[in-house]
Amino acid sequence: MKNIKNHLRQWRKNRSLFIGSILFLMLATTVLLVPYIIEMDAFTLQYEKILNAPSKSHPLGTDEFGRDVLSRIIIGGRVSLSIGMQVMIGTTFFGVLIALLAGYFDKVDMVVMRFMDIMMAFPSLLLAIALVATFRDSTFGVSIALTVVYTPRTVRIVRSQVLVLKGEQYVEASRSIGVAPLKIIFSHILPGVLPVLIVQETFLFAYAILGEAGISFVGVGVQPPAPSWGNILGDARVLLREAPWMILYPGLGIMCTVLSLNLIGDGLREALDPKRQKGKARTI
Amino acid sequence: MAIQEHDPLLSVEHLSLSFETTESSVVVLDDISLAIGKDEIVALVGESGCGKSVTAMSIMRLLHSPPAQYKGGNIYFQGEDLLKSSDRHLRDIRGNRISMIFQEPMTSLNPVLTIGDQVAESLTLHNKLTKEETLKAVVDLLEKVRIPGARQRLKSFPTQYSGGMRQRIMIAMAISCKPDLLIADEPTTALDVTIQAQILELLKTLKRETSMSILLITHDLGVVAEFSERIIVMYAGQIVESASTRELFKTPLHPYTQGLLNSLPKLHNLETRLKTIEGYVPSLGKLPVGCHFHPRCSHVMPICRESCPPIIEIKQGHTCRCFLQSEACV
Repeated sequence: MKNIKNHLRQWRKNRSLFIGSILFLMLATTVLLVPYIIEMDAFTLQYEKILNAPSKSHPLGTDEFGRDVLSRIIIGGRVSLSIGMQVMIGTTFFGVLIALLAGYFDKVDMVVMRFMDIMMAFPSLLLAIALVATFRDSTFGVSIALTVVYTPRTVRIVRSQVLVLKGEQYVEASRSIGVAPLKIIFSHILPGVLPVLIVQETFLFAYAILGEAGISFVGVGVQPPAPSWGNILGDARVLLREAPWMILYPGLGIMCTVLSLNLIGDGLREALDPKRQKGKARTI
Repeated sequence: MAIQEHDPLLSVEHLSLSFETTESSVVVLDDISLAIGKDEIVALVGESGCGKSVTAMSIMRLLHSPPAQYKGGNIYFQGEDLLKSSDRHLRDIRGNRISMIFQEPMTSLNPVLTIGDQVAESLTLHNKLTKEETLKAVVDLLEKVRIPGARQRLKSFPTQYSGGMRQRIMIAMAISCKPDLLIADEPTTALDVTIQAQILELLKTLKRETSMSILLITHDLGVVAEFSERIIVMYAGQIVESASTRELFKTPLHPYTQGLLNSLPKLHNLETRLKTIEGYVPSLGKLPVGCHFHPRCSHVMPICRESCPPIIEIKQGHTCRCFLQSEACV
């Protein structure tokens, strides 16, 4: 109990983590829970209400088919967040696996990292668009495409940490008691990688949401009538003068989510990396 | 105790090893031969960078290759040739029959795993134990290395321990499977003198209880004098002299050994300055032609500059690599 209290105090003291996580929690609960409480209709076309400005019955106005923008943003937010989540899980799994093997085994490293370099050299949005085009199920397709595109980023960062930890004497010591390479990787190196990984994946969540918005904005991502923040923006682009509310609110949604995730990432980095802690001597 | 000619526990024969990179090749170990008998404590002494730790690592085959490359020789442990063993077999031997204590107790423990888990690792790796058995064994081990309140401390992390305690935990890990040979690579270098004495005393007690052999690597002759039965002196990748402790301190034959002993402070002789050996250890990449020690040797002869002396047995159990001695023999 005392421990929990202590953690809570630490959390409140860490400004960016505190603000970021509150903001993110608010957004996530809105997007996830509100549709259960208030009936949301994001799909019915109402031709008598085309491009209505925000009003009492439609707080954020209606779009070019008379659909409620608020409902579409909230339902679309679910799509965007779930894609972000899927990409985060995907890149964590593949990124960590590749990074651990490449970082520990020199021979794997040579081949894998050159391949990662090639992928990094490719314009990521272009690659994602090309990949999405090959998948039918658009939501899941976007997740896979973004996972492929963002995995090299995770690999890079985690691998550099693996290289550091590989040279630690405790890894040498575990070799000296006969621990097999794979066990060294997963029980001695992996735990040391976690702080870096957690921070990286928080930022990656934000990247993935931006990536999804980019792909859907261009029109190849999440396909209508299903809403996502990206394709609402895409639809609204041509109506910018007539219906600015259509582009403003989903934009704000993306901005707040990415901002909150970046704040969380910064806060976590400060909390997890002993070298960056303010006002605290580093204990070895 | 002289070298046990029959059936030593570990015998290294004419081992040569070099570090190879694309640009250069550096001979790190040159014709190393040593033997460790059962229940024996052997000390390997020498200055920094003369190849002591590499010798230890090469016995356990822990060196990464590249750059390390075995150039010749054999390492027999209980009759098996370790240089011909498979990786899997080596893993069975490491920690189980040969184990090692490292120089830096502060960095030898994984900071994110608990002490209990780390001590248990070697045990569970080499034995089939249930959870309760492991727990009991770990507590026993920690008590054996005199960690107070062992049971309560299983869940604590290395940062909560002092250097001496961490080294004792390393010892607990090393002896957990009752190895036949313990290689202690400068186990007390990073610790202060009182802790050093405790650790050595602990090793001695453990050795009496378990009758394991110890290869102690150190540059501290004071430690060696009271601890080991036999001393091997290394210089620039070669063994230059080997004898029983008593013999070596009484009649050192190699000029380098003599220099080392002369540079020790003596109680009854209150000189103001300590004697030193002139010069530095040569870099292994640029060894002098002939005897490696000749540029620093006070007894240097013309032949020393031309060829490297062979290592020969001067007396029963006392070998030396110096032309002075071979001249005397002839």
